[in-house]
Amino acid sequence: MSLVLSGQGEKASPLLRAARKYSAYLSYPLALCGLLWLLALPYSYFWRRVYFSENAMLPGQVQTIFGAPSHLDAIKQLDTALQTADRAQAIESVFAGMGLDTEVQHFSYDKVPRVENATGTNVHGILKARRSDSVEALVIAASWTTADNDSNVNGVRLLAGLAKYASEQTYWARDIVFVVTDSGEMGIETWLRAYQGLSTSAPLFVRSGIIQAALSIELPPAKMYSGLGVYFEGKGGQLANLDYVNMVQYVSRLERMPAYLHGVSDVSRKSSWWTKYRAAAQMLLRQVRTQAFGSSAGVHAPFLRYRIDAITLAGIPRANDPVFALFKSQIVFADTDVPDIPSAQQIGRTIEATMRSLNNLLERFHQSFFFYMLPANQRYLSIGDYVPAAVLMVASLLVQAMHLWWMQGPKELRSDSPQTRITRINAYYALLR
Amino acid sequence: MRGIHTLLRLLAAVFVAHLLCSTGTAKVTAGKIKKFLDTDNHTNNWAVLVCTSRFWFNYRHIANTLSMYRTVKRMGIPDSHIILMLADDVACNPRNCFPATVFDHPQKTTDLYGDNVEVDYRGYEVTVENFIRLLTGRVTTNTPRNKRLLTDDKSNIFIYMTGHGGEDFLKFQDSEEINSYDIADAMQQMWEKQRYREILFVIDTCQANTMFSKFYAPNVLSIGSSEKGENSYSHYHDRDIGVSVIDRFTYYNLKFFESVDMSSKHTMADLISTYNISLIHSTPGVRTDLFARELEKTYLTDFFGAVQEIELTAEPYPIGKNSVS
Repeated sequence: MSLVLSGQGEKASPLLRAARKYSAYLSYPLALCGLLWLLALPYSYFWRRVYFSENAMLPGQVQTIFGAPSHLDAIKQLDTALQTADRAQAIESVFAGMGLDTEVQHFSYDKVPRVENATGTNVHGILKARRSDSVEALVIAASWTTADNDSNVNGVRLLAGLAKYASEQTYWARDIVFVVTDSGEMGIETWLRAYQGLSTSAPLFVRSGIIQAALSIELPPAKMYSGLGVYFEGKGGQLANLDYVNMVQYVSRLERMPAYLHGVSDVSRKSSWWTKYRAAAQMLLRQVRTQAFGSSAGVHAPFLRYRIDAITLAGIPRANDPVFALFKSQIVFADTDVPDIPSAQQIGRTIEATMRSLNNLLERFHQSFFFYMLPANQRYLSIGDYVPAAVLMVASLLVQAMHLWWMQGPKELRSDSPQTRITRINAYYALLR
Repeated sequence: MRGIHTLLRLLAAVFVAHLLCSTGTAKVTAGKIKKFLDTDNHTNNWAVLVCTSRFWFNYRHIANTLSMYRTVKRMGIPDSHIILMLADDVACNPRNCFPATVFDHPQKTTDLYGDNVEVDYRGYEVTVENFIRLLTGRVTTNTPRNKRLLTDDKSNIFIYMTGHGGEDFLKFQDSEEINSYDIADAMQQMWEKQRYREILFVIDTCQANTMFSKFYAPNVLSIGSSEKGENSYSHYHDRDIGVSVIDRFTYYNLKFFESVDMSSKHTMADLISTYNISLIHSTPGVRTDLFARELEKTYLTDFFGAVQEIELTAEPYPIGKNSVS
């Protein structure tokens, strides 16, 4: 403030007087620089290659075994149970049959505030680690519907298979909780609140330790899956740790079913710079939109509110693959009751490798970035790369504000009456010119 | 030491019977025994094996140390003369698919952990302070015997260290560091207190050669796995366990030791000549300027084994007030 005040009066140095006169004009270049900086972000020169920061993860270093007959039998068991019983009961019976500690949670929530009430059911089963204390837990979650309101029954069935696989292994260092909800994000949010002990209306009694990381599975109905999509944003700008995203992408590539960010594969390297720029800009805008508007981000989003790193792995049905679209008419689309999950082994092994890496962790993800933007697969922009754009824009506003303060003139010229003030300010400026 | 005393005691019992008639040859025997007891060689061997890492992903450092432990045991150093410092959180780690075992090869032929392993400093006891106290002998009064380095001026000590390191430092258990000056000073203290005859210092970490660059105590032979600015690499990766199980430098040392046993006359020069940079993927270094003997004349069993020098005499020799020593 003393800088601002000292510019007033006749004894001000030439520098300060020039600043006073021209500071209004400084704000426009600053805003322009900020905008240019933003526009430069989709240009690949400024991107950095991703790398693993957490040494403990050891991604993809262990042989994956998901796909054994017993795992797929669990899926068949669930199918049979789904035909006879109610969905929650079916899941609960399958989990209980594997030896997990299960609980069903019934809750109600405002679907449309003060207008529409809805009820929901969550079922969860806890696999207690045999050789470890239950201080920590991992969560694998699935909703009965996907984010696009498709049926996610394939996701739930794969979850049952994974639960069977996990229950047969002895090397878990933490408990694994398998959750199935029928109300999407709202259901998981309610479940989490109850798990943390914050809910009295629908409490949970069967609980485990603190949750280190979570994974949500979404498999829309399809005959085949051509790839996976990774969704990592939560609401209000919260993101899963970059190590988690990198790890999932890495292990999925090892299983030859690569997980792309938001399901969008890379543009060909031979395409023009404009195509690449546009693709990167679209990817960045997609992330900005999800984070800025706090819209539906996936079943993993509620976990991020509690600082639990979580991502959603979504299968991309093959028919949506543009290359395959040519043959669309020749494919028989499966309805929700598919006898097998296509690519179950690949997707299941990707998730298995993720679970093994999460198992290897000693602490929560803390080594890599929490604030980042991902313009393309395997590339990132850290906060130091994109925040200066915002800082420049804010700086331009600050300079304008400073200028307006200076415009008030010296203290002697100020008075309560706006009219007097304006006359005095005009006179003051006449003096300056 | 104990072996020689037992032998001499036996001889003394026989001496009583032959005392009167063998005064002439007794003088020859006396000369031999005097020469034997006044020898400048080492008389006992100790090993200090330190693994400075903990956590599951550092499985290979535990495997390195345990492999060295098995090697020196096989070559004759007893557990009472081995100080083993391990975090020891790997064999019974819940993440271990093969509980209570530690392997150093994907074929899992030898279980290094087994039934017969004696860890002296385990878990959080492996600290820089404990290590320096151990070396210099300045342990607290209630330190148990197995945690003390009870060496004397005729002991040869084999010190092996492995873990994560850098230029002039070594990371201890993710919370502290020891630097090369600390170890150099500790060794000088040991020399002044006459706590060793010769030391072989082997270190397998990144930039290992910097760790012995600051030594100044005499009679220390140092071998490191990589130069300044170089990393040391892991070797075998086991896809069942999901970790790397051994480091390259240690692995190639162990490979050489497969052909060595208690009776071998291999020398340090033989061992060092087998180091192949293209296999180890880093440049091993050897520091001999502080070491009095030549490497071609220094047997591996001088450090890695506990070979007793035994000289049989035809005549008995009295020990006690009449003895020469």
